[in-house]
Amino acid sequence: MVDVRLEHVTKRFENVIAVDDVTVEVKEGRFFTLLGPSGCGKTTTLRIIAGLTRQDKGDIYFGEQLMNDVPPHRRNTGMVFQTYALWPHMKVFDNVAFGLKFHKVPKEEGKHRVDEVLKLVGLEGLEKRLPSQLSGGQQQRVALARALVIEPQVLLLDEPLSNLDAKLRVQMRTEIKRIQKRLAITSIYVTHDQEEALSISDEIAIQDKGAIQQIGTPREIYEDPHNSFVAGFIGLANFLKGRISEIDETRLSSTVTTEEGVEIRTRLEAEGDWRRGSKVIASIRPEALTVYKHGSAPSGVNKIEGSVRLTSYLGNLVRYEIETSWGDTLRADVYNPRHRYIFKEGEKVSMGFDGEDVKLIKLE
Amino acid sequence: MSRKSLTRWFRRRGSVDWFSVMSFAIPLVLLFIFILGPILFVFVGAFEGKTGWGLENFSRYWAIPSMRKGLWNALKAGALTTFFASLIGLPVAYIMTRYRFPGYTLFKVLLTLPMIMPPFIGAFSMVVMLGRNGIVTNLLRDLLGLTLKEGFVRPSLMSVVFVQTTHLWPLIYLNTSASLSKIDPSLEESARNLGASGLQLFSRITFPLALPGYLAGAFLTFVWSLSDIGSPIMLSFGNYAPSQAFWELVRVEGVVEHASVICVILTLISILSLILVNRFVGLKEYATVRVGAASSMIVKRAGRWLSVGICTLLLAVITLSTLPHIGTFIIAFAKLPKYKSWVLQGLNLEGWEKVFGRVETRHLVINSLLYASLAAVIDIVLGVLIGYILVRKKFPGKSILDILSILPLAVPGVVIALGYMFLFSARLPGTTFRLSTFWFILVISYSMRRLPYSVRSSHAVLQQIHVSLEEAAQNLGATRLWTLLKITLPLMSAGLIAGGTMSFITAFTEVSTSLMIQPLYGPFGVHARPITLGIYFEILRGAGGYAPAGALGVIQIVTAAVCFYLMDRVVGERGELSIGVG
Repeated sequence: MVDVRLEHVTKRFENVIAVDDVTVEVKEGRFFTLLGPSGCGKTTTLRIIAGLTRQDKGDIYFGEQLMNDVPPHRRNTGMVFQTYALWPHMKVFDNVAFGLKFHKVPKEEGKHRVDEVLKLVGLEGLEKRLPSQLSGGQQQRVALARALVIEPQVLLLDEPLSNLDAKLRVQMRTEIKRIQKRLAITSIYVTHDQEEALSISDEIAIQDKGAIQQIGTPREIYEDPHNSFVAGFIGLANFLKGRISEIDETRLSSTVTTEEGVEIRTRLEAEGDWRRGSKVIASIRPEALTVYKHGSAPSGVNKIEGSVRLTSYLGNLVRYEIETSWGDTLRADVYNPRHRYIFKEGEKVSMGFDGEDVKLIKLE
Repeated sequence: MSRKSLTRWFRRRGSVDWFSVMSFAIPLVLLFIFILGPILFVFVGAFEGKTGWGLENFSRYWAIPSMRKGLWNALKAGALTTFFASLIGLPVAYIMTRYRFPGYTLFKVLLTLPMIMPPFIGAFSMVVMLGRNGIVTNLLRDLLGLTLKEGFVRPSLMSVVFVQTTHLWPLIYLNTSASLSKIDPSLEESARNLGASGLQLFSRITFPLALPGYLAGAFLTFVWSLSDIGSPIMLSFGNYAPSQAFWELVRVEGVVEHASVICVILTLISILSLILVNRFVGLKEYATVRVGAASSMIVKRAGRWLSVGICTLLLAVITLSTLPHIGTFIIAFAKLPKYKSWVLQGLNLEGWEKVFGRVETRHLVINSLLYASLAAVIDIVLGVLIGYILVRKKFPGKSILDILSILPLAVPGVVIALGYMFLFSARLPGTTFRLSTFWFILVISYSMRRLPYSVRSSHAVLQQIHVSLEEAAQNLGATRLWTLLKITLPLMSAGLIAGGTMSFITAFTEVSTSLMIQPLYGPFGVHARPITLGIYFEILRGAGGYAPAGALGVIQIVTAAVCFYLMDRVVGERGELSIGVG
């Protein structure tokens, strides 16, 4: 188990920048996730760590050792591929045992280790099967076992769950997390699924267009997005563009006047160079909006008027799409709707939200 | 590739990876020498006149009416054969991929029979069966009162077309049905859903999607016919460009320059048509995309009357195209009927005694088995190497390798043969020994002519093997060589066996270079002849040589059949392994 460090790693394909000056550090034993939309460079970053793709610039360190010129088969990483990459001509046992030969594991111990790891992933008794005789979830487990059995310094997972159905995906991700915690193995996980990332990771790096946008714990990423990309990518967010029209230094609050002239009182973070006149985006999560009958929002909260365009009943919540008087559409999620009135499409409503729930993002 | 991109490539690599460079350079050099080299020599021979470079040879060639006629005939035959072969091949392909009927499996086997027919002896037995005094000709006359004074197969252009068509239509059938069975059924279903049906569905959706396969088959048929020397020789049809080239080379007073000119013209025509086909097919490559459901979903069970119709059609096609097989067996095992009769005169094993009893024929079978096996081994090795480079590696100049390895498909056999004659005809200093008389030249020419089969098949399997299967091995600590031996090659084996078998069978029955590069006068002399050349000499003897020629033909047919059967057994089992990943 080691730390993994990437310093200023850059990779171009033809004229596309796939990985743009990426610097991250993954602490020993942590579960680290690279999260981003497809084509953002996260898989390329992972392949660079595995040595399967060579970076144009920058350095890779495992602990103190510079890995740039170490070929993939000497890096001692265990990788789980998106397609599983199980060898169709080998039985489960041979697939899993394949890597042991190159790690100088004696035959008897190797057999023992394969048995152990198959038990760990819950595949005892399937050693003699061919991959084609396994279900998707079982194939996934073989791929994981094959990567774990060599006791790698780093476990690399490239969208390992994307080929499974929704239920199995949730089940497998808790299982991966359980195994990772138990072995305390440094893990780097690539996914485009934010829910997966939030639930499984110790730390998340959001990547877009090759560059890292923000690194933080799941909570930091969700509650304190540093830019509008992160705010929009993680969860849903309503964005209102405007300028800071007033600052109250003592109470750390400000007033933002949006382009449409609506005034919003917001919390102001201590750090950050906030000035009157700064262009900002006010980001409000849908769950922070409360929907009231038209005109009946309580005083003391921010208010926006609108009319319901679309009501989606999702069981645990009702999601409204509400058109404002200036034509924007805002989303509001009302949880636990069991005892509430559900607004119909076309009804006039008021949305209220607390200044504490507004996250200001500075625009350059 | 420009020098700039080359240096950029080296820089990106950091240091030069000699293993990769050599694995790229060696096949490239080999293909340059053994594929491009001969072709260049033919061009030099055509453009180098007595007074220097120019079109002198061409104008002398063009001045001879029979030569012009020969070229025109070859073109006409190419077009007509392709047309008639499509007429048979397309419906058969559609029927066999879309309908099930009684006897389906049997028909499927019978339809592959033309593939195991050696073309040379095949054309000859067509004469024996359908010629002026042919067995079937006489039979039809006696049974149905059908009289054709000259027979069905005679020295005429249409007869050449007929013989070629019966031999070549499977090329169109097999290629088209490969494309047809790859079509995603939902493409046709959605067209049906939108209201298309019948002929409209076929012409707007099905046929365009199957076009790449059809065009590939049609192109191969066209080039084969354009460069056929076997059928015109056997039918004694004189004015046919490729066989004219053969005669100019073999005749004592022949003009070698004419042969070169013919070869250059044929090469240009077939390369031009390849470019046309490629341009067309290149756009259509999406057709091979297939997701999800198996195409068995659109397979229909034929009703009673449709089944009767289908079976009648297939029986007619099969009867016609197995005539050469039957004829060859008759020639090999029976005393031929008397003049104007169709009654066989009884068993006759003289041919077999002669083949294995005489000095000059005893070695033929062993020779060809050896040559074809060596050629197949060379093809498999080069095929893996080139296929691997084409699919997995990025090299400046990779496309040159791609083109060179596919070129032999587009270049008529006579051209390769003539080129090898030129390239290796230099006398070794101080001796009378010429390289072109050394039998190994024959092996090289076989392997180069059949290289496209193994390169294409290893290319195809490699594309199916997801690259992550190799990366996973490297990730777990396997070196590149180990990955190749333990992962890549085992996964490729089905494709390699298929490609190698094709190389072997077609080399075993090869005509052009076998006849033209005669390892006859060299130190290996008469003992080094390949089987097809043996058949040719037997038939030259006249009636006394027919039986031995038939026996040799039977050996070719049986060998090919056994190879196909074994390949099917081996590949059939493992074929499924290479699918279903990624």
